[in-house]
Amino acid sequence: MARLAVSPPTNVTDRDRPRRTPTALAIRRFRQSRSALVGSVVLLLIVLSALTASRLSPYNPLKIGQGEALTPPSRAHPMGTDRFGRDVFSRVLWGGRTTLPVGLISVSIAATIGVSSGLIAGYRGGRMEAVIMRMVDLMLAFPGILLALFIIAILGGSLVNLMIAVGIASIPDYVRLTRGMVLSAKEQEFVLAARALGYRESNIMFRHILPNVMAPLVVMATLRIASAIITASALSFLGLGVQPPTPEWGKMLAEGQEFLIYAWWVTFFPGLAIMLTVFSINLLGDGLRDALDPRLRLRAASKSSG
Amino acid sequence: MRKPDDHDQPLTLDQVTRGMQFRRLNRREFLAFVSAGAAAAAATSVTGRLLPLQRVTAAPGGPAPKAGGTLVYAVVSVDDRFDPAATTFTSVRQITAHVCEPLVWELGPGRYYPALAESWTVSPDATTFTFKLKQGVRFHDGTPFNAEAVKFTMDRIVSPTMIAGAARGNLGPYERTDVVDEYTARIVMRRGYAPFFGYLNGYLGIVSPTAVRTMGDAKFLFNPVGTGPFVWREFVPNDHITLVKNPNYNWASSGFSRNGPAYLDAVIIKIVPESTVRVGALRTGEVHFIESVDPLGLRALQRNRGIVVIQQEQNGIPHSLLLNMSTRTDTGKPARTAELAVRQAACFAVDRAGLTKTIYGETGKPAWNFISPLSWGYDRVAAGMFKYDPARAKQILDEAGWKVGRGGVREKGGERLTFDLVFRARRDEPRSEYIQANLNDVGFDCRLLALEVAAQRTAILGRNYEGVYTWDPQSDPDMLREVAYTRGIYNRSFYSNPQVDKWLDDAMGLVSQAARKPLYSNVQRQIMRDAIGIPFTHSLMTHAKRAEVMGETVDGLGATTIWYNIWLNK
Amino acid sequence: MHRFIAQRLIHVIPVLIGISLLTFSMLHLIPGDPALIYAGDTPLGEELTAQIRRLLGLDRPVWVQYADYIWRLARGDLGISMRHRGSVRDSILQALPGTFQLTMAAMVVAVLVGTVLGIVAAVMHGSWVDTSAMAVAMVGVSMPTFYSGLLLILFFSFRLAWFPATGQGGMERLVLPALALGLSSAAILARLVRSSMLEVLRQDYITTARSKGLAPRVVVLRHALKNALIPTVTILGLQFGHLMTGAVTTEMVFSRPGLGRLTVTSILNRDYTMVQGIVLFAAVSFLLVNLVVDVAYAAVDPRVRYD
Repeated sequence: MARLAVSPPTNVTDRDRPRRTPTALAIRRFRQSRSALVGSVVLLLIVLSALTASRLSPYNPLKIGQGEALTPPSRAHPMGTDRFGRDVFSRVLWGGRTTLPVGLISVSIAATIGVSSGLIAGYRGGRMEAVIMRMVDLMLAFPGILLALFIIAILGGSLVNLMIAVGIASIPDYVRLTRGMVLSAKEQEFVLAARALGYRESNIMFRHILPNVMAPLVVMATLRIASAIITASALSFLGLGVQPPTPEWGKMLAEGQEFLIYAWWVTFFPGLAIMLTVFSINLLGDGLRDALDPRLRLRAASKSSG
Repeated sequence: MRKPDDHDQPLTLDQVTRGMQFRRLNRREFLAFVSAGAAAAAATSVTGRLLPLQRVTAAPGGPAPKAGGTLVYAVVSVDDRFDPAATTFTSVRQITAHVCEPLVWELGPGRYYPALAESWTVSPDATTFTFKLKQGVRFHDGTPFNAEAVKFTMDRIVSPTMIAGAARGNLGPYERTDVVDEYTARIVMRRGYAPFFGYLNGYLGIVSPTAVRTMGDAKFLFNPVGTGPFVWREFVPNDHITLVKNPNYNWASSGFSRNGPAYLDAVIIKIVPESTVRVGALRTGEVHFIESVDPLGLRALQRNRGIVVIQQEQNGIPHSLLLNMSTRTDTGKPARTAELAVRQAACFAVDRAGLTKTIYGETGKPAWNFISPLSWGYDRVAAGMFKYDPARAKQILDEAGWKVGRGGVREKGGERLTFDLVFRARRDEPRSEYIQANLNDVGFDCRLLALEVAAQRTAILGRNYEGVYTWDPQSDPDMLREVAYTRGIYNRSFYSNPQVDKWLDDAMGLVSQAARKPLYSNVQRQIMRDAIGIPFTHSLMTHAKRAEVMGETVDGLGATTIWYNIWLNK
Repeated sequence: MHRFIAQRLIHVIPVLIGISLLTFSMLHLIPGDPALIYAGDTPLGEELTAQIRRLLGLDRPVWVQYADYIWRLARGDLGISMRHRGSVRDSILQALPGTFQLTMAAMVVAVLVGTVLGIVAAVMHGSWVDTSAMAVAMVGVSMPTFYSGLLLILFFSFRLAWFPATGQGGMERLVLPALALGLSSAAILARLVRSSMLEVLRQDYITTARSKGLAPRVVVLRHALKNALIPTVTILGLQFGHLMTGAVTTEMVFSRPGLGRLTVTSILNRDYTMVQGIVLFAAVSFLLVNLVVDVAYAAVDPRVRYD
């Protein structure tokens, strides 16, 4: 694939004095960022409401015929009701319990496989690296959502397969980032020292190198949760992901599409939920990036899907 | 809505006999034979919903028909192969019927009009159907239409190399076609097949033998050639189909009260899957005519001036969920619904009135039987055998050993009470979600499997499901064969009961309605006892058009809009 | 330069082989017997199944099947649909113009809106204009295209009736889908243009230009913009994948015939040969587009090197 070396723009501001420890600096920068703060607060609220959905939601999200169908937002139903008379607000709350884990788990799958392959490729080099990087090239040859679609086409659409598909499809980014950083870390003194002392390879990789390349990985993983949520809800929207009756935001959007003209609320609120979640994660990720690794800006900016 | 016209009056003997010559039937018997539709017509007129056959001869003072223009007609979906012999879809049949004309049109329930056949005779035992064919008719490829073409069409449907669709079932106990002379074809059945006439209207459209031979089946499937008033032009998948006027057409059915080429230069059949979008497109004038108006759209359109809603109750098999009784599925295990108790529980668990109201609104009525009350064969006893009773469903499952386990899902012997519901992606999803909720309420774990049409057929073939839908507008009570006969075309329950088969076969060979009726009643009661499925909604054909569209005709099934007489009043 | 091209070409070959292996293996990975899927709704006996297997070449050793697959691909034959038995290549070629038109229109939207927003934000760096432009861009990045598509339909088709909601053909049917698809790319571009503009504006020659008394507008247009656009062009190449993704949902939302719609219906239809063909086609075209972009880019910018 294209590996173009463009001198990356740096955004280190003059205020960052080199006297403090990196961690303290990072925390300070993060706290200074208003957007990061907003992002974390909104995200926290979303996560909390999903966690407490069983208490917060006024109605059963699955039971049909509890109320009049397709009533507009009112005091009884703050987000209106859907075609089965179900409370949209309750379904949006419960939907978070599907969508958020899908984002988290698929990113965990991708990060685990991607980071360890990247470590191995970067550290070992040689044939191992060649094989891994050719695999990465291959996966990158599938534009956007195509790889996930391909996997879903083989496995079929379901919650678990959705996480697998989205997870696998985003492995390459982790491999490339990890490998790149490992390549430069490998030559640094602490690694050379560890090697001279005869530490085991895996020990060096995971104990010494990984912590030092962690920061940009965390930034990327955070931002990738956002795009994973978009991809997963897109697949569910297409009918290839989560199946009813499980409430899921993308799926709810698809269900509302049919009567968008008469009942905008069925579509509007689940979509808003996706957007707010992704928005807050993006803000948080931006804040983290500015705090931890300003050089990542270009790379992160070029990634998104949906 | 327009005022009802000639549908409300009983048929006159003259109307019935037009084109029909019965040899050795006495008048009473013969009336019984053809009154199938008359009874249905009378039944529908009571509801006051049936919209009449619109005669093209304009009412005095009304505007005179004008030729020209293109009709944009929006449909929900058109899939599959565009060969009347190969398709199983009413949506496709509607299109192919304009290209490959039938021998006979049924333009009102049981009202048959000559199309390619000028007249016909039926033997008293209903085994031999002799058609006198119109002369001077030419296929779109220029070749002449004759008895040979009829023979070719029918033989092709039963040919082992042909992947025939609904047409195969419609041909029933077909044996052969004799070419008596150039313009006389005799279709011979192995045994009596009284319902045959009800099936001529559509899937048995006549195809050009020359075109089939030169193109081969594979190509013909997407380029049908017939004698109809419209010529196949193009198909852009997921977008539209174009038919253009056949300028040489001058053999119109007497049912259309006029002759000559169609008024319209072309018909564009636009595929618009989303109902709201169809409604919106009709309001803005992007399209002239839309099919399948959804309940909410219906309410909106009824308030709209300049738009005419067309509703007609449909005869036929209602929307039904068939329960798989197969003990040998692809996975080697029996379907959960192979057990009678499970099927009965499902029948009690589904709230048909609620489902109909929620999903169909004013475009449907709850169904309790496998055939429509419009049909003369409708049996009230069978219709009263199930009602919505979830407590009863739970009790039946308890008694059968299905005990509530983890997550409220019932279990027996370590097996969970799963229910795989296979359905058409998007289109069938709302009703499936409703049924899922109903079934889960009594302890099923209903899983929804959304598939596109062809994949659904494969799934059905593999028998890997508990429930699957069927629905078919038909006119003769023989429609029961489709779901109840061992080799019935929509027998997706894999139901097989020799007694039921025999009743159906016996009824088929009888010409008298009075003699057939009790046999059909038996069938309905038996399949209800065996709980082969859950009929839930009788649909009302609900279309809408812009006021400038004049002169459309809806066929006797309430399923096909005929475009021949349509003209645009602009 | 020639060496660079040669290197890139050699680099492409293993990826091509990988793609073909992956798509080829699809028929062997799916649950169920492909022969039965081919047969569709026709009940099969043992003999007929065997016949279809022979016809499909499924009875031969896997490597022979693969060689045959490659041979057919080399001749541009993508096989036939398992469902309607039409040519896969024809179906793809039929769907392609719709997607191409949509993607190009979206690209135009992205470039126009994105660069303008980015430049304005950069020039007015630190002002409320910058802040709100970036907030808008952030919302844009966070908005799934299917959501923005539905909102656009809601307001511009249903409420205002300015544009038709769905379908293909004519500019008026292209506006909303192109906006839906283009806006998220525009948001990404805006962020990027802004940061690279800021970067350039801070550099010495701009300061020099300023100190020489050139009007700010001239500085921005003549110097900063030109340099800031280089990374933008790269990202544009990468956005191809993003647009492909968006095209799938956009085509579904707006009922436009195209490659995305074809993919989704084929998956739901378990039309594996069709999916196989589309995936292969999309991956190979993506590969080629990237190749061309890389080469063109290397030709323009000497700083680019191959690593």
